[in-house]
Amino acid sequence: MKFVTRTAGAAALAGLVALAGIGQAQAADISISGSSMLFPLEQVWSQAYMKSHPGTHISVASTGSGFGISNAANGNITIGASDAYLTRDLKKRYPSLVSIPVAFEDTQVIYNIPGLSKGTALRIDGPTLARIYMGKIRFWNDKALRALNPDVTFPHSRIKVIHRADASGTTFVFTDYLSQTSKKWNEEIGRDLSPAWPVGSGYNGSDAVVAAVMSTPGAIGYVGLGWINEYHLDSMALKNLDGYFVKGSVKTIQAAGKAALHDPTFPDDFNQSMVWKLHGKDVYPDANFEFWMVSTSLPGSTMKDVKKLIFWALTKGQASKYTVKTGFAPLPFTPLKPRLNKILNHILPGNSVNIESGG
Amino acid sequence: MAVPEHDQGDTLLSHGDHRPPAVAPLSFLVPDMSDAAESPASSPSGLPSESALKSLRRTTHTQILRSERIFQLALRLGGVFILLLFATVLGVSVVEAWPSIEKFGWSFLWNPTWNPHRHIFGAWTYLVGTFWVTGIALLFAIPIAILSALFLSDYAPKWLVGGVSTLMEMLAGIPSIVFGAFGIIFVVPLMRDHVEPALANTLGRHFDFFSGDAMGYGILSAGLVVGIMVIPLVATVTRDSLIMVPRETVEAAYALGSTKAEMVYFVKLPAVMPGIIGSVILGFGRALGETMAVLLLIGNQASVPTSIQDVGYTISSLLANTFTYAVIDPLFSAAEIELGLILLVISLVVNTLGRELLLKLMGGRLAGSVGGG
Repeated sequence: MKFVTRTAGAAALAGLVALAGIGQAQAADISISGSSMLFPLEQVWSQAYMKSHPGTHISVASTGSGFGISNAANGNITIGASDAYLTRDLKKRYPSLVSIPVAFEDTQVIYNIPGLSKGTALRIDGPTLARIYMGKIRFWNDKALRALNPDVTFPHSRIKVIHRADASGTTFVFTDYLSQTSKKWNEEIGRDLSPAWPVGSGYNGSDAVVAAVMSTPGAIGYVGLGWINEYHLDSMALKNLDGYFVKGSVKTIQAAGKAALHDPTFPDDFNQSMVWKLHGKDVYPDANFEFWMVSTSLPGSTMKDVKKLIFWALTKGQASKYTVKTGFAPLPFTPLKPRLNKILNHILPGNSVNIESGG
Repeated sequence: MAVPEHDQGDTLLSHGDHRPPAVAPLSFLVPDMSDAAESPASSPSGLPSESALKSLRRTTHTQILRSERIFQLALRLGGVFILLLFATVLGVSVVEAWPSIEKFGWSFLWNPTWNPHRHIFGAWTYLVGTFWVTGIALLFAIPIAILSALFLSDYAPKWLVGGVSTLMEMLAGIPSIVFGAFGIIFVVPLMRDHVEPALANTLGRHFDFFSGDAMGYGILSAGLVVGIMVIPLVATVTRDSLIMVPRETVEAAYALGSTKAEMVYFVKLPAVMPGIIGSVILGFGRALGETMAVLLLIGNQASVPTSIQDVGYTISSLLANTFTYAVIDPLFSAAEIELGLILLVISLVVNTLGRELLLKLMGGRLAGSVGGG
């Protein structure tokens, strides 16, 4: 059901938000738009929040991370949702924006190998994955894959590379992992929401990627945690910074998130990739924060409402009935009051919020 | 009788028996005319007096002239609006595309690299993909469309013609996303499991152009589905022009001893050539701009296809996929708008050339009445 809402809602509301967003000016009126990945979570959040905070109206729309970032910066919408953090380029272009992490997601590698029984544990590392996506490894029984999986007998069948065609945060996180682990990928393609794919075929949306991988023998593709759970897909274990092969799950993504939140070198606005940076046995190396982009030049009264909403989202909103149910891993902010305090009272301007009292 | 000085409204009133016409031209624009018409009719002699007639003529003349002017003005506004609309679309596109036009110049057209990450943009792969899909679609659609049009105009039994024609017209009105979905559930598996392996095992043994990994998605599937969408367009216009071939011409062919097939092939087909060309141009425009069905089927990969089984990318599907993201970077969005501009120019050029060709082939007669590019 969730996935029906994801796509149908995205299509239906894409046009509406532009209208809804432009006219908004009233005090307790918040418009959120952007990432299609975050959209289902924002929907349940806004419903729950409007119920417990009468007088506040939140409109949510799925328009793509790019739209979210640019329109949050120019004031068309209150909050821009994005799967990608603000890179140096974006920061330069939109200096007024700050990023607030609101949930964890990840990108996992799915496959359809003829003759391989379901539930076979496959392992892969960044350089091998990058070579597959660059068209250098063309068959499933390539020696690099056999070396990583000595117990598995691969068929001699062509690898059919599948990727996203639309600009997508999932792609950003996926290519981030490839860029961090493969020098060649970093030099030739880099990380982007819509990179110049050397090989493969592209599909519009994660649902289409799942469908294409499932229907194409020999296919390899990538989607987020929500789709893995929804369709009970097998995903590959990825090699992390400490050399462990970890499969993506709520637990391993949270392990990555915890490592990031506890890491004192990690910036307070979390405006940094957490891919391939974190140590730990259980850390999934291709997890990411989902962000809300807020412009620091919002009017004072709006900022007050936004802060209240962010505080609620980062505490009560992290309950698994909202996050895990819609395919995300919760942020462990409740035990991390100093981090939360910094976000609400230092990064965002305006009156301070007392994080001890409920939202 | 005085020579009419003005326009039709004037002549109508100056001729005949000096009575206002029963229905004045544009009477709906002149509500108070009935009042003016009644007063002379009520004169005792039954004939209107000269002065009453004069004043009547003057008032109705000025009223009709005024309404005529208003009507003309409205029409002119409509025409000007079209011009303005076109100029606005073109102007805004050029202004928005300017950063890209300025930076890449003509090389934008043949540069095969499209890399937003490195700010290098070139249209080549998308142009090639667009022409592949359009080409496959037309190659597939034109023969089928002409055959079905000939069947409907000359061979089909009467009871079948109405039904099939209606179905064909309905096909032309189905939204493209429906064809796209049909492509995914029917054409893609058919290509992947049967057609593409068969092609690779026969023609593919001798020509690399037909071999490849059977994937289903790609230029072949996209081209065929767009072709299906073009068939009704070409077929209906061709059928309409076949029906319009004069009976005398057909009978002359029979009188000279042609068989039915000879008549169709040597007389009817050459006679409707302009109509066919016009409909093909229409179909070309449709195939060129088709977005949703292509996006679902082509595999959206920016590489130049070397085999009919390869995936590709068209201009319109690239815009649909990435334009919302491109707005984040001025050069990126400029490059995408420039792509849109290229599409616009191509269809303009094709339509103009098509029109010229039509005029030439028809030797000036009937120009624009059949097909009309």
